Amino acid sequence: MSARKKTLLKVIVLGDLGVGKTSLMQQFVNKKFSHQYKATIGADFLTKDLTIDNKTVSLQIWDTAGQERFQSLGVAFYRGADCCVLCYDVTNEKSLNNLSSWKDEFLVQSNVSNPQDFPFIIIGNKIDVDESKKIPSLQKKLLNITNNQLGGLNYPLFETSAKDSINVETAFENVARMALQQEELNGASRNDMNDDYHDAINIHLENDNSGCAC
Amino acid sequence: MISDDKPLGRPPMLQSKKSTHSFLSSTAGLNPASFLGTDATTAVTLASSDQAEIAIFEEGLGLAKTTLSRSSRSVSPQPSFMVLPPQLALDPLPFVELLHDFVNTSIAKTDDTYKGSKPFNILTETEEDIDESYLEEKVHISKKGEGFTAKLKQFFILSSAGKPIYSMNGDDDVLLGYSGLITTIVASFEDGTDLLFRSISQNGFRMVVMNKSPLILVAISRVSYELMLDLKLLESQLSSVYNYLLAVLSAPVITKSFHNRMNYDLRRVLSAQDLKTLDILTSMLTFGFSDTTDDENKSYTVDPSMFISSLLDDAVQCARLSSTLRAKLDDIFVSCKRLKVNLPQSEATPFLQGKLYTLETTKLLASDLLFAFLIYDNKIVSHLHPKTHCLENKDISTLLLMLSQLSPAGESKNVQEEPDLWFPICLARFNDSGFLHCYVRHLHLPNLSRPLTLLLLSGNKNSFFEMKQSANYIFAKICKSKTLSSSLPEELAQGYLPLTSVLKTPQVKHFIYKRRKANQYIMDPLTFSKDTFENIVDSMFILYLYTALSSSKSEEVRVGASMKKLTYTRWHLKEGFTGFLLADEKYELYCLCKGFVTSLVLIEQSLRIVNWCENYRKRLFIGPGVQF
Ligand SMILES: Nc1nc2c(ncn2[C@@H]2O[C@H](COP(=O)(O)OP(=O)(O)OP(=O)(O)O)[C@@H](O)[C@H]2O)c(=O)[nH]1
Ligand SMILES: [Mg+2]
Repeated sequence: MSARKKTLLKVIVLGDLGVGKTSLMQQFVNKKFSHQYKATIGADFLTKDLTIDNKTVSLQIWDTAGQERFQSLGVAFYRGADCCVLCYDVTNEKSLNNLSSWKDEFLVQSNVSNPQDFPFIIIGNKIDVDESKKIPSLQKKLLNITNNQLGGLNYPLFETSAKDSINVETAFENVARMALQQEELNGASRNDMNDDYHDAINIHLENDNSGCAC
Repeated sequence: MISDDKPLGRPPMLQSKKSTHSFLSSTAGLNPASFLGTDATTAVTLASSDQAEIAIFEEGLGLAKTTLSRSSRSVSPQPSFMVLPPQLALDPLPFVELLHDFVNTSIAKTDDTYKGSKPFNILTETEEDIDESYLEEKVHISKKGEGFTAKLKQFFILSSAGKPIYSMNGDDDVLLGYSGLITTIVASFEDGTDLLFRSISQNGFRMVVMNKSPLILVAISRVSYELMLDLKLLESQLSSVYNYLLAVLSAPVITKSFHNRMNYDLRRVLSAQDLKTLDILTSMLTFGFSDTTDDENKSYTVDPSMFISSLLDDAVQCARLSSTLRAKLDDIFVSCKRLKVNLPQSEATPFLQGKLYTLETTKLLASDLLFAFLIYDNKIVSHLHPKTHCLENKDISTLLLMLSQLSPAGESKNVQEEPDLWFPICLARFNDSGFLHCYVRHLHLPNLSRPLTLLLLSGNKNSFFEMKQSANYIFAKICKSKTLSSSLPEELAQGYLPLTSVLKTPQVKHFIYKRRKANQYIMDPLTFSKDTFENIVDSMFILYLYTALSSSKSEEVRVGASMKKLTYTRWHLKEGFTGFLLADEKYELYCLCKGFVTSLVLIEQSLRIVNWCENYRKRLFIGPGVQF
């Protein structure tokens, strides 16, 4: 009876400026990479169809700007997301430390009903760069962040390179799978819709004048 | 003397600029190509939308218009080219003389540059020819991604999260980007303020938004005649779309669906039929036709009445019927409401009568019946409603839309064989939080091409059998009455005769007459008998002329105690047209004449129409209907 073909999934990508969010999108959606840096203004919307466990899904990816002045773009960006991707740059320690404030920002703005179970995924980008440029003792710091911080960021983590197309596909397949789960969870939790058709309207013909102005 | 044979004047409608803006691009400063394919669609911040004029609602204050720059207005107001000399409006001249002066002054004021030899595109006010491929490209609904931006009209229903629920055109790939973009624009304006985003207008482009959180409804138009009017027309269209959505879902279902999960995909609860009905609605509302293609045959229904209804503030159409017949039908409704039937022994209940307990052995059959309609050809023949409640026209239109989408009436001449239909419907203006239950049955009368349709709305979902019995009673009464069974089909069939020939007003090619208080209208029947393509263009042409007429600047004159509104317009399209609008607090008359008629003829004939309609208003309009 339903006219629905594909499941639509809204995915938000967050992270500091320059960590490579747009590059990851371009690699994932268009298989392109550019060395030139063009800061995102506001947000970009990209679409990609994927097949997950024999199910076609359409990812509506909201690639947001890392620049601070766009961070007040408001609830529209966060509202009703099915999955949130938190990105950092493996050569930029500050971007790693900011992950938890991106998460907090998301939870505050999106007002999701189940913050504990909401699917987040972490992507560490630019692993193609020279070992020397990477954050010193990255693994240890990662462990710290995922386990010890208030609230914790105990989420699946993928290390990627948008430049060399390493792990990008895998990461987003996981994003899609988690988003799909979230969407189905919500969709399934209320199958009693039919009950609403049985609500009778209470109409008092004798003494009720509120119904209309005639 | 009246000099009406002056060279052709240039109609004001032709003066608006050529619109070359593609969908949204001019507003957002974006490359339209970026909407296609998988290129990113960029959300705009306030600073980059500096060209457009944007209207927002200020809560409690009605409309506040914020012009972000000194850009040109989207729709230049129709220049007044028919101003009465001030002393005329004051002099207590007889009305007819006053009209003559008005028309003559108007004619004198028209400027005479445009000869109308080139084809004129009524959709864009350009000289681009409208042919079948043009309609295919710009007008017909298409669910393909490619060609999406070429469409002149768009409707969207989105969730506040930016997920598409319905779109008139386009496929998911295109829509995902647009949906995000639109929600972002709307939310960026509204966040942190008490303002509601209302519209963006630019030369040849308008986007109107209705924010019904958790839904956002959007109409985008580049159709010339829709841009002649203020925002009201597109807003009325959006509320029709919303009203339909509520009719199938009701407000609580929508709210509950999104409760605690803004990511909900509302398409889960909409059926394919619902989406198809939305296509029909949006196309009818804009272009006056809809695609009724089935599996085998390509076909279109041409009917401008839905557009005209929203042009006339949701006025509904009534069927012409002599007051004796209408009274008879009304009586049947009322008697049905009073009809008592015997209760089965087991259900008999004791009640106190005086000092004695008596056994109640009868009950009112139609105690749950709230509203009843007899409908012929989408026009109301008779209507029953409770004393304390009546339905708003928006709800009645939604009901008629639903009706038109139900399985077509069977051809059976046998009353018993007509199927019963029973479905829940939420009439949102009446009560948006619950469902009424609607019983429908058709009655085929001899010599009539269409059936008479009976609608019974009940507040009780368990009253199917009572409604069915009531319908049996009503149809039996109609068929048994000698007057009704002979005169009803005859009079209904007469509804197809052109009124202009009945009234002997040969110069008037078509007219619409609306009674303001009842908000009902009648119009000269329109018959479209050429091939589909021509019919569609003809229908749109009528929409164009009537919209242009009602948006042209009018003059107000006082005649005795009443203020009359007058508008006179000439179009130098095809063989030339004259439009005349005459309105006061009681009525509105819109009439279209072919060619440029003399003021003598124009005034004589339009006054004849007004007088006739007022004299026969009881047979032309049903008013509030019959009460119980
Ligand atoms: N070496 C290397 N460079 C990368 C990689 N991904 C992105 N870059 C570079 O990093 C810079 C920033 O990339 P963007 O994708 O624009 O960053 P962003 O996160 O979208 O930035 P904002 O839009 O400002 O938030 C660009 O110069 C990219 O070429 C990567 O995997 N490896
Ligand atoms: Mg970016």
